[in-house]
Amino acid sequence: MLRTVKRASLGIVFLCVLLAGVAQTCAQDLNAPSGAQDLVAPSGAQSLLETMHTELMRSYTALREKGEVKPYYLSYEATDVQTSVVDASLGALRVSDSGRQRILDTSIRVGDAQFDNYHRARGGMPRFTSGSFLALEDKPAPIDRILWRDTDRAYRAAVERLTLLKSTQEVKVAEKDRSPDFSSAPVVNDLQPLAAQALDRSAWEPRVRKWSALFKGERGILTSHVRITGIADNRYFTDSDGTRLRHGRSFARLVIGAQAKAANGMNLALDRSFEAENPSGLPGDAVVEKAIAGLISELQALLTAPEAEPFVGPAILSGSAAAVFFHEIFGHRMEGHRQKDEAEGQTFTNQVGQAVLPAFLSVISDPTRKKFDGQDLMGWYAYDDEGVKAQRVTLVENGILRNFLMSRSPIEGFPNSNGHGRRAPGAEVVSRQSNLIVEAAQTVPEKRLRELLIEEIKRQSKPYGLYFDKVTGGYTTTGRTGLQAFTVIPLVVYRVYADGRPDELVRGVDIVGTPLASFGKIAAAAQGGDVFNGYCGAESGSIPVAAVSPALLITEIETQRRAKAEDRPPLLSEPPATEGASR
Amino acid sequence: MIRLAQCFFAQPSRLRPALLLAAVTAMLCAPAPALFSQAVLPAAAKGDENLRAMVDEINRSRDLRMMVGAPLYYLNYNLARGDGFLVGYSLGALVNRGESHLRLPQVKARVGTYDSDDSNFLLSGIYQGTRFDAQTFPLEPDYPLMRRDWWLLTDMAYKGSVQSFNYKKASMQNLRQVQEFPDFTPAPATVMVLSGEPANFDKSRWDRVARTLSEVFLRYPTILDSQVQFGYSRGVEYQVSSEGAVVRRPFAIGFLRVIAKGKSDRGGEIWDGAEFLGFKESDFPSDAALHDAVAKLADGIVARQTAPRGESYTGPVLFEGVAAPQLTAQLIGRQLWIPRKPVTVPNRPLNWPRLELEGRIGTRIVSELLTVRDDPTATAFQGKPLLGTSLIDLEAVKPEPLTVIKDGRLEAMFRTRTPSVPGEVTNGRARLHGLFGAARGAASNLFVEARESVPEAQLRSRLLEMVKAANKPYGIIVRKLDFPSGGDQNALRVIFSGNATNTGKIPVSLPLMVYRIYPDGREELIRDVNFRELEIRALRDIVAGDTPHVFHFLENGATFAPIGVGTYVAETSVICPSLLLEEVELEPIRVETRTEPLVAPPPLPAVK
Repeated sequence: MLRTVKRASLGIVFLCVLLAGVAQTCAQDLNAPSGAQDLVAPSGAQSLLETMHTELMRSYTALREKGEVKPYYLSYEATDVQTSVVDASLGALRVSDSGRQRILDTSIRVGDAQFDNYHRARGGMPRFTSGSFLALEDKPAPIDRILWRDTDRAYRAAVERLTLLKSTQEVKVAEKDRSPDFSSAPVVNDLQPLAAQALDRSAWEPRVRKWSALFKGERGILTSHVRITGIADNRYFTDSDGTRLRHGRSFARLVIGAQAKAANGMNLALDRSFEAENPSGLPGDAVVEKAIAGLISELQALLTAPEAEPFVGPAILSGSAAAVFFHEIFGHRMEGHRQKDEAEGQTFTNQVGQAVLPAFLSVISDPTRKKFDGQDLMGWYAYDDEGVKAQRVTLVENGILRNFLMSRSPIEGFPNSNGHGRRAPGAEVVSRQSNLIVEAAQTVPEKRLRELLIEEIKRQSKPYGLYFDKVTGGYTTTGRTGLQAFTVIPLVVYRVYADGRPDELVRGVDIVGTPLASFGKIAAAAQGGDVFNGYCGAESGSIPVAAVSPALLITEIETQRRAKAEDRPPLLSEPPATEGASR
Repeated sequence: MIRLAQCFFAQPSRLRPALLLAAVTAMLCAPAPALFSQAVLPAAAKGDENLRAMVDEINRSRDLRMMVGAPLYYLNYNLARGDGFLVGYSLGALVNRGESHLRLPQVKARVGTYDSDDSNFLLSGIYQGTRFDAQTFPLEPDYPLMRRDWWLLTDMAYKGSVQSFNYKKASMQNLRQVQEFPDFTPAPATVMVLSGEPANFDKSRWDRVARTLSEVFLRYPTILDSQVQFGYSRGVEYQVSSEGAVVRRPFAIGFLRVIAKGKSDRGGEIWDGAEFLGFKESDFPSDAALHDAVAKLADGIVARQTAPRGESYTGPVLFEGVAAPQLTAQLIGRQLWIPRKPVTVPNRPLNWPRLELEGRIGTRIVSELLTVRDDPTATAFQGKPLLGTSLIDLEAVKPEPLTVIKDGRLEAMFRTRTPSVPGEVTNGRARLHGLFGAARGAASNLFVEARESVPEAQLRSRLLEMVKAANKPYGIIVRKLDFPSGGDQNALRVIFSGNATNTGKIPVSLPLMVYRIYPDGREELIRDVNFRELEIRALRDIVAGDTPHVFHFLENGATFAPIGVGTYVAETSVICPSLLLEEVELEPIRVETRTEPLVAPPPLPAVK
């Protein structure tokens, strides 16, 4: 994938980027040591937690005693990430590395729960954690030093910001939402088993190598790769309320990707991914080889497919496309902090209890759910990054808005967290999505959904409708200063003709639109549902999420031409695959 | 460690008259590089799939010459293939440990002509098109796959150069920018195939050493942050050019880094760092010596935490021991390369400061007692290995020993194949990648030699004589500079704000171990002082000691050469006697210090 998440661009206008093919973790952003061998197993976990808690209470007590501005809450979270990656292309290994790192996040609150240093100041995003590296061994001395140093740094920054906020408040109009800045949460003590990173690189290298070789000699494909990533993400959390947590998750991901360039310069990229809790849950040869064959034939077909014209008309979004559609246009607007921040568009803030979707649709955010229809979901976790137990939340019930995704930052009418405060290591927590599941009370078989599409095409007197089969991700902006718009990036799109002609593959379109206009156009849903697993990049970093939806018929969708590269395909032909002149 | 060439041969000569000097300087007899010579895989390289793929693909890429309007006239492939290791400890606990595969392919494509090409332009090297290479080179030397990667990298480099060339042409049409001299100069084609494998390092030993050394800091509770890292990078560097250069050269470099910091009694940052380097295990000091060095570094920090702050001072300063080569590395070594000013873009003026030594060839710049040589062919000094040994530079030019300062007069500068003034030809000092499509010149083994010297032990008494003669209450001895720097970014910014200027002067790093010496011989450590406008002219009036001190560092081109910065570095050695400078100005550092933390640092465990 050619996109990366840039936090710097998120200052005022929120921009979400959801990507399927990029297993990008904050750990990798922070320059994980690669190729680590003889890694120290995350043993003695309790002692790390004990070290953290002891130092937390020492600092907290002293700051309460000595500080002119007193803290009322302090928390430490250590994220211990072990990653192994094997990547090959055209039958040769390109990456085979492992790495591990521990990152500390410190949150300190000064003032009081009603008004503290985290108070949102019209788009201003407070940041107190610095994402410091911790020793990988549970020796107190080096860990204590980092905890102490970061607490001092965060405390100074917190006092500074609170002072600034209070003085600024005096010259600003009153905020609409006067709910507190922080809420209480149950104290939890839970030491769960550590997640282990189970990717045996030496065992996977030949498989990845073999699969990647299937791209050899395929016409028009310039780049291809097969990559497997195994991650164990263990989190240690303690706070001044008394919560002590150790929990973790592992996951494995197999991504197949290929790129080509059409004669007119358009870049074409397709990918497929498979996710599982452990590498053993990933598919075997038959499934992967079939996926590669399908990807090759689709990419080659795209090379000669006609370019799509901008279009407004009826379309079917496949389950995975609809999942991304909902993640972008709906899920992000359900995030609690956006209802409070007056720089945000607040599309749904005042619509609780009102119909926001067709009555046959319900939307649930469920971080406790690990699978959907046998398929692993990437957005699950046991506790969020504020030490709150993950909870299933019904956001929309039969079209009626019921709830928001809440961290410990309350909003009017929603005083408590529902376990959706999330972050990548090094970022501040905000409310985020987990597993977003769209459920339809009335469904039709897929075949009937297609018939409905054709009827709609005829009704609108359109020459064709569109079928969005596969998407790679999307992005949206939710701020007031920008356009309340979204983009979904399809990979495989077909024109569906009403006159019985076969479907025609087209290329070069993105779905665009605005949220409120789009929801009213959802006309029908198919049976079942598809899963889209990916990484969502937003204010609190890149986090694993999933979205699930049935295929949907939309009576009106708008597409625009995709930005096209101008450079020509490689000027020389591909070099001979076997012999060279110099042998 | 550099092994002697098993195969080191040259092709028959066919020199153009104008290039005679260049070719002689560059040593090799070779043809004037006709546009796109055929690279030939030397017999000694048979079986090396890396070189074979490079040679075959660079030869095939000749066909790019006439693909579009801007003709390709030069292609160069560099590949570093090997492995790396890094382990870090703090207070006896593992912080990071990792092994990495080193695969760094680079393609340089030049379009136009030697006289006028795509380089030396503000937008040179900026590619705006699509990247289709896999961005990770194959781990194994898989011939067809490597060729494929070179193909895609070449395509990207060529297209990028065509873009730059066209932008540059367009920019020059509306600006009074006349190309008075070539963008790139031809050089003979070097063929050098060194056999052998790079030295290896015992990971488990160095893992243990780094851990043990990090435990030294457990005895220093006022040092708040410390880390000891060991790492190495080893492998083989390859180079093939369309001029016919073919190079294979094993390399290995190990490094042990120590960085520590605490706070002064006024809340300011007090830090120090050290880097020990070697091509092989035996180049490093013994474990005991390393332990002593780390303890000395820690002792120095602790002593500085409570040392009195320095005041403004003008007078004689003795740079003793390693401080002398640290000083001359910066005042001389880092000033000897003049980057070429790039062609600019209309409405985007570029502040291009004049460097201190620019245009001063033939003039006296330092004491006539001093002669400075840069000798990349030297492999050892007084029985100990030198790090700057360089058989060939990044532009495939073999460097020769060079006298840069003779009896105080500037005789030569470090030259690459990108001239910065008319008539300039390379002397094989392209040791780092630079900006705007040009390589960067850097020192190799820099010998600072004094025609007259006094016994080392007498320098102190000479200093005291000067102090008495000037009727000063004390003199100054500097025993260590912060070079390469172990300071953090904030600390460096403090220095920059007070030291660096926009005039092109390269700032000299902070003096760390600074002592007042009183007329009665008593010494007193001081802290928080910096040099005030210390320039090369400070070396005009000097007294030199008779004992050369050897100092190694990794040149990364960054201000103060911070420890651990840079993917590409040039190993450098500086050999210099202690130097007594007649007049140097020092001034107190103006730093904002923070209030004491409300919470005391956590105690360290008791150690035996």
